[in-house]
Amino acid sequence: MVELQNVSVTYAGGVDALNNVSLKINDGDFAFVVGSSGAGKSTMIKLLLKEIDATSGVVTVNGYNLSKLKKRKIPEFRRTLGFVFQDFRLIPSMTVYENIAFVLRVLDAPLKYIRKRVPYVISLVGLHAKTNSYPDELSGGEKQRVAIARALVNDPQLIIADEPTGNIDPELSYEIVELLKGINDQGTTILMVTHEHDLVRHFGGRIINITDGEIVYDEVVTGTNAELLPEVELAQAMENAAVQHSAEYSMPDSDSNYSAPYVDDVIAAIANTSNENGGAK
Amino acid sequence: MKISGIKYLANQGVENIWKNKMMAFATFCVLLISLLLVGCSALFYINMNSMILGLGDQNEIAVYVDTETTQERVNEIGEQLRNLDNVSSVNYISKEEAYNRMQNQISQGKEIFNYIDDYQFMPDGFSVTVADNEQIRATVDAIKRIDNIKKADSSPQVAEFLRELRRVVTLIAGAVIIALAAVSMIMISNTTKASVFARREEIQIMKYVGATNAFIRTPFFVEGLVTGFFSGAGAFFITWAVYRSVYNILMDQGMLMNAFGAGSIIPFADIRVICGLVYLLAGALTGAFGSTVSTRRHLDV
Repeated sequence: MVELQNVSVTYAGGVDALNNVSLKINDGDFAFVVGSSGAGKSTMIKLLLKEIDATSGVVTVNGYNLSKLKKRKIPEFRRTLGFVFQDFRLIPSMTVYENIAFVLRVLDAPLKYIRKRVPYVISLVGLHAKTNSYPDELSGGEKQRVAIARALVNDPQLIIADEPTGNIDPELSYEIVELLKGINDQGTTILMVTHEHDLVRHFGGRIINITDGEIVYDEVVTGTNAELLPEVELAQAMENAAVQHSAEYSMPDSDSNYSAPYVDDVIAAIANTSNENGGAK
Repeated sequence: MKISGIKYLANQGVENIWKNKMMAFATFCVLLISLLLVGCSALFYINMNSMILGLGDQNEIAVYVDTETTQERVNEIGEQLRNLDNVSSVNYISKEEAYNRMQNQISQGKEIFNYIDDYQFMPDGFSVTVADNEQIRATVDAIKRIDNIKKADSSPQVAEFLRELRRVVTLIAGAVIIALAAVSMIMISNTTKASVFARREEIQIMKYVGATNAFIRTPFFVEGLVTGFFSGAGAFFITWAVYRSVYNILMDQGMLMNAFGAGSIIPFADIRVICGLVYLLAGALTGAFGSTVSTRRHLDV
C-alpha cells in the first residue's frame, strides 16, 4: 500500500515540487500517474524510493513510514519494491541473468533457488534466448523487459515504473504495459508514471494527474482499447516458458522465505488480455 | 551472510578487475609506480644510513704510550682503556708492529728503515674503537688523563662530518619519502575515484535494489586488494632486479667504493623478506582502502 498524507516537498532553491498532496493506492491497484514535465511526478517517485524526504507530511509505503525510516533500514525497505525506470538502469558489466540474479543475491537467497527462479523469470518476459547477453547487446524493449524481470524476481508487493515506455518504440509500449498488467492481475501493486496519454487512454484504470505539484485529477476510467495491440509474441513465449518451467523446476521448499508468483495465472491473464483486445497474437 | 554470499562478493571483486580491465590496469600502474618511488627512496635512505654508520665505525682513536714505559705498565694501560666508558674494542699495537706499519706506510720506507735495526724508539700503541661516535671527544679526554699516555688522536672532524651528513640525509630522505607518499596517495586516490566514478550508476542501481553499503563495498574492497597485491608483487620484483644489479656494480668497484662505505650496503638477501612483505601489505591495503573510500560518496542514494 502507498499512502501520502498532506505531503509537501520544497527543494533547497525554494521550488515547491509537491504541495500538500494526499493519495492512497491500495494493495493490488494499478495506477497511472500522469502529468507534464516538471509537474512533480519524478519527485513523487523519489519520495517513494526514499531517495528524498518530504518537507512535511507522512509517506507510507508497504507498511514503512518513510518519514521516520532510519538510513540503515532503507535497504530492507527497498527490497519490498520493484522498480522499472525509463533508462532501464541495468548494470552494464552483468549479463541478463546476472542483472536479475543480483536482486536475489542482495536478499542472500539460496543459490539453488536463484538457479531456478532467474531462468524462470527470464522466460516469463520472453528473453530466454538472451540469458547470457549483456545490456549493450539488447534492444530498448528487451532491456525494459529485463528491468521488469528484475523488478519481479523478488516477488515485490509494489512495482514502481517510472516512464517505462519512454525509451522504446510505441508498439512495444503496449507489450510492456500488458506485461505490467499481467503482473498486477496477480496482486502486485503497480504504480506507473507516464506522459503517454494514448497509452493511458487505451488501458484505462486509475489515473492520477499531477499538475504543478498538486493532484488535480484522480479517477478510475474505462479504457478505450481502441487501438489494436501490436503483435504480441510475448504471450506465446511465456506460455512456452511456463510449460518448460513446470516440467523442469519445482518450487522452493515450503519453509523458504521466497515464493514465486503464480506464473500460469500471469500467462493466462496476459494471453486473455491480448485476445480480448482483438487477437493480438 | 552465508558463505556462498561472501564467496559471491569475493568473486565479483575478482571478476570486476577483468570487466573493468582498463581502469584496473591504470590503478595497478599508479600503485606500482607509487610503491616503487616510496620503496626505492626508503631503501636508498636505509643504505645511506648504513654506509654512514659503516664509515663511522672506521673512526678510531690512536693512542701512543711514552717510549720509556715498561711492558707491564703498557699492559695495565690496555686494561684501563678497556674499562673506559664508550670503548668497544682495544687493539694493542706493539713497538715492532708499529715499526713494520711505518715501513709500509712511508714511501721507500723499507730502504730508509734498513739503516735502523732497533725498533725500540717506536712507542707502544693502542687502536681504540668507540661505541658511540657522538661521545668520541669525551673518550679522548678520558684517555689523555691516563698516566704514561703520550698522545691520543682521533679525527673528531670526521665523526662530526659523518654525524652531520647522517642528519642531513635523514632530513632530506624523510622529506622526499613523505612528499612521494603524499603524491602517491593523491595519484592513487584520483585513479580509484575515477575508476569508481565510471561505475557510479552501477552502485546506484545496487542501492535501488536494496543492497547494503557493505554489500556494495565488498567487491570494490576485494578488487582494490587484489590489484594492490599485484602492484606490490610487481614493485618487489622490479626492486629486487634493480637492487641486485646496483649492488653487484658497486661491489665490483672494490676498494674505491669501500672508501665511501659501500661495504656497508645491505645485501638484498638480508632485506628480501621484509621488503616483500612491506610491498605486498602496502600495495594491498592502499588499493583496498583507496577503492573502498572512493565508493562512499556514491553510496548516498
